[in-house]
Amino acid sequence: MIDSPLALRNITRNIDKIDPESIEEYLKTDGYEALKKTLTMKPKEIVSIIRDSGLRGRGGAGYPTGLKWYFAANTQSDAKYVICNADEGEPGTFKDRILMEGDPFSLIEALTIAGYAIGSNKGYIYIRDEYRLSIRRLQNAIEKAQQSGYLGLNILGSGFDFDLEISIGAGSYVCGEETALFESLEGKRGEPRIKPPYPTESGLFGKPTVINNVETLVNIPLIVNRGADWFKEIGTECSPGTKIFTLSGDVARPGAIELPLGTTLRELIYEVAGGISSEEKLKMIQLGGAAGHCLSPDYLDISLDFDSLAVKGLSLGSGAILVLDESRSIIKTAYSLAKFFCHESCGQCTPCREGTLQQKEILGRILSKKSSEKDLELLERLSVSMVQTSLCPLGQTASLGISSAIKHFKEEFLSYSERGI
Amino acid sequence: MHKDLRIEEIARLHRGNLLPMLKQLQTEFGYLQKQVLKKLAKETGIPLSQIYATATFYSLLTTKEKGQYVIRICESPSCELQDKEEILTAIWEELGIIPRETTRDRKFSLEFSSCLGQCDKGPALMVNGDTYTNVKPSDIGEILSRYHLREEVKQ
Repeated sequence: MIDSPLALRNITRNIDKIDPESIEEYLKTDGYEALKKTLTMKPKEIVSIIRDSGLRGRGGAGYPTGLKWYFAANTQSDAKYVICNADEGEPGTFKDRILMEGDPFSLIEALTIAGYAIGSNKGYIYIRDEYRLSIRRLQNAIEKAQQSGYLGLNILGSGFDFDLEISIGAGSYVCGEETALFESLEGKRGEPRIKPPYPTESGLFGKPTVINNVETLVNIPLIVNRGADWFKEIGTECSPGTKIFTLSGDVARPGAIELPLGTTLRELIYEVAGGISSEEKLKMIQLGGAAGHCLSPDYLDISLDFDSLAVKGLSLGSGAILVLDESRSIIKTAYSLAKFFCHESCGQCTPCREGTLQQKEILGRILSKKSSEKDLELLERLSVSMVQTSLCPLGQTASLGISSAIKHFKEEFLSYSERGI
Repeated sequence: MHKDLRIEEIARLHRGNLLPMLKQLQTEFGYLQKQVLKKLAKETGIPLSQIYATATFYSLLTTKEKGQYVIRICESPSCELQDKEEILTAIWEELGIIPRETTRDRKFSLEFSSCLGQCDKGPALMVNGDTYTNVKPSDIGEILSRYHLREEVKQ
């Protein structure tokens, strides 16, 4: 975690403060107080608290968490599932990893509360195989919670049964998309499903399912303990709470930091991360990971919250912030993005499968200075088709970084293509 | 025969859930050979096409034999900024392989990987399950020697 006077330590309060493998230490920091409180209330009341808090999904889409819970709670079914999406793979993002490594019990407590709220007895944590330390810490936490009566049958004598299982991925970015994740959990190729039906109606094994991101979930025990009004005081009116931002690239102090939503890029880059690491000037910021927009320094004063960004056609994404200084090549970065999406496209729908391949080929031509000016036009048209016709968010966002880079750094692209003619 | 029995056991253990079966078969047999997948299809009733489609979908599953230790270098934009090329050169100097190649003694394979989630500590790489961050070209010799050593201890 980056040390900064601006930092808040709400969801990150236990990271580097307690032994993440000790349930005793977790209990000493109000651990499991929220679950105890939950079990004295009606499931409906818990759903109301989360709805009132205005908590929105931290995985990228910003969907109201309480609404998901409300829909799932009100769907009748013999079985329901709660899933934690821990398949963090968005380039530049490592917030979920530090939460799972540093405070695994908070996540497990949150999932148990979610199970109680929607009427589910079974939860899964779907996590990428590369996160070995997170997997070990979560396994340990689940075992200790089971031994202490916080998971399993008749939790704390309440009559509520809930258990958790870890499901480990096998290397696939698209499995972070919720319906692809269900397919993978069911043992198949991770190809996204067509929506609707939405997961709260028909998710894992066709049953009503609530799926939330790690960072979203760790807010739950705090909201239950401290109340919706406490939560709403942090952040902005429509984007309450904090967000973990992960900074990488050419900044003096890269790392993760928890800040209120509504912080500006300027504060993040210059106050928190200590500015640019070299003598060079700031050139480009990519906001939200590989699927995010590439921005020029003109955007430094934009407020990082869901709505302010949406108004400008931008997205907060995972909260990843990649910073490039003037010495860096935008074309190389764009090509690197194109290569990534071409590799990770699942191949199910044509606009994404072919579009990501064409992006890579065209940018390859530009990079080797063998392109014409028409190639830029082609990339822009391709982007429109991919955004409008791809099945899932991977295809819909796979061209955003490239098209925004062309928009803000057109001169650089033109200098490459002109020389190539 | 022993192998066939093990495939039957693994198929039963995971009750129709193909991905964990494939992961376990790979762990035990090194890679997913054609014969293993055929036997699995027969055992589970899952069409071979579906088994192969799943086995080839995930980056961490392989239907081709690889080295005992797979070095996976993070290729994400954050790591790309951090002298990744010099790391590749250092590996070439140590092992004589470039990405997507395996050493002759089948000890090491080299691959690229999507983001490993160590973006503030790049360049990052993994050797099987072990993660290394802030890797400098001069670290490569020492990192690789750990796996050479592990072999000697075993023998």
